[in-house]
Amino acid sequence: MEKMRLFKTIKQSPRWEYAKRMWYKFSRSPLSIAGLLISSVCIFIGLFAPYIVPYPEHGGLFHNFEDRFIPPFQNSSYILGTDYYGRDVLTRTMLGFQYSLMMAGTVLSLVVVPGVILGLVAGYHKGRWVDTVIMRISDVFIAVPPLVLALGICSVLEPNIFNAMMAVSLMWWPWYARLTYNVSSAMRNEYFVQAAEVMGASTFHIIFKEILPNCLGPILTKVTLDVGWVILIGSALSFVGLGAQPPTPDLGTMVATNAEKYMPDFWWTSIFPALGIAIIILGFNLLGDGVRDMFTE
Amino acid sequence: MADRPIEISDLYVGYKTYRGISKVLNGVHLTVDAGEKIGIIGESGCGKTTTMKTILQILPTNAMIQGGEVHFRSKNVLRMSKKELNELRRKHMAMIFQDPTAALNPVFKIETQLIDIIKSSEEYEVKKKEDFRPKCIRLLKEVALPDPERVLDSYPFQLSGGMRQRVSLACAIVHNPPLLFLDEPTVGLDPELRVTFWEHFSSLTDQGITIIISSHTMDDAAHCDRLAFMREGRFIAGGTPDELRKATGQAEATLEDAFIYFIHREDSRDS
Repeated sequence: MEKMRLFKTIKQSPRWEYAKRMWYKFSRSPLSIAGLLISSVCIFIGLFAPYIVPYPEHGGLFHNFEDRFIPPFQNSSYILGTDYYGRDVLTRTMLGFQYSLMMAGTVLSLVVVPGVILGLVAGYHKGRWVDTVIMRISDVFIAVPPLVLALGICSVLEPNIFNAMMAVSLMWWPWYARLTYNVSSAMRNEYFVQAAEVMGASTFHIIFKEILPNCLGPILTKVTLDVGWVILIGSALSFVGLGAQPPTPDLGTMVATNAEKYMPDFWWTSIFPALGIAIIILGFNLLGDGVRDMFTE
Repeated sequence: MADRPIEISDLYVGYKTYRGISKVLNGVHLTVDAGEKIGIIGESGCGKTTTMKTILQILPTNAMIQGGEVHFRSKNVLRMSKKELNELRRKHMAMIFQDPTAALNPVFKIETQLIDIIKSSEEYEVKKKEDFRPKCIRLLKEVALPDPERVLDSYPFQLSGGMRQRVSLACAIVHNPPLLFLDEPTVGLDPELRVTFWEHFSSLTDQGITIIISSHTMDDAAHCDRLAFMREGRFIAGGTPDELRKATGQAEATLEDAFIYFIHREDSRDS
């Protein structure tokens, strides 16, 4: 009888079983759950900021000098206070989430696909010339720190958020190539890859259907952790004035311009955007740790 | 004979290591006739697996073929282009690896993996997943798996070792290859399953399939039609189990005695 019941539970849906196992491993740590919550709130704000903020028009060239420099937690209509132009800090911080996440999304979608494909190809052909060419080129790119190159590119070209994203992307793909290379070159001598070779499977099939699905765990972990890093670099660029330009409500720009002029007296104009950056990065890092736990035993 | 499934002559294979080249195969000769079960018997590390991998051309990248020829139906396997080789592997050869757990992709259901192989091996018009199900079930029944429906819907980690072993056998016989390589197929199986496996291998050879088995246990050796004893990258003796037993000169010699007898003879010849 016991055996029959065991059969049935598995028979119901192995995919569901698999998902449940993954969720169990993820949810063992309360910090991962916290990360999941924080990052989903951040993503929600990022997606719907223009519709949920109290004053959508405060994102741009708006001024209302009557209400300027209202301290936080004193006026119910401006919970986090207002800045020099009388713009709501809460509104601008929430809109800043949108820019930060857009930057992370664009950079990672530009970077992950080519990086992973190059890493897979190099890993599968380990020890041959394809491997050498791809990995040495990626070494050249890795040798330059992303922030330094982005600074260079943004100061030579026009400093705007687009150029900043391109510069960071150019430097970021080798890390994905590296990671995928390490995983896939170890996978290359696994029996199931050899079994596929014996079956006469094409190189394309082996790389994308046998090896790639087994590399997804580490890649996904790195993507989640990188969201925070890319936002940090984007904010750093904006902070030194080479990223988004005012009046764009970018978190880094807000921290920089307000800290310079109004710091310690009107502290809330730069502390709250800075806290915003910290929360996004913390959320995605905790989530990334959870994802890593999910894919390791 | 022109259409011998496998004819190996004077094969030398080595691995590049940091200490130089370590020679694994030192002049292997082997001929295999169609429809026989041939056992390559030897201690671990003597080159059994390397021999098989050389025939199938799946040696690791640090291996070097230093000399010799491998013929499949009088075509040299070692000189084939990648395309010819894939064609050969797809239609004429299959292999079961030492570790059945690692031979299945851990992230796909058994059904998905079987369908992939079926798709690669035959012309098919039907495209829906359900259309492959009867064939999958038939294959699993052929290897005596109980409850094939459940197995198809499982991931490899949900099956026991013996089940996985049988699934990889099912994968290997999807396209009825005339040549089947089994690398230590009965390691880690209980006696009952072992018997089932050997019955199955015999029924395969009855259908005209040639089976090459590597093993280090004499239990397996007794089931083979012909044996080749291997030591340090060379075949030291060959023949049917009875012939090998008689060659020792003792009336009641077992295969183990025979193996030890040939090893001693080989060692004394060297010194």
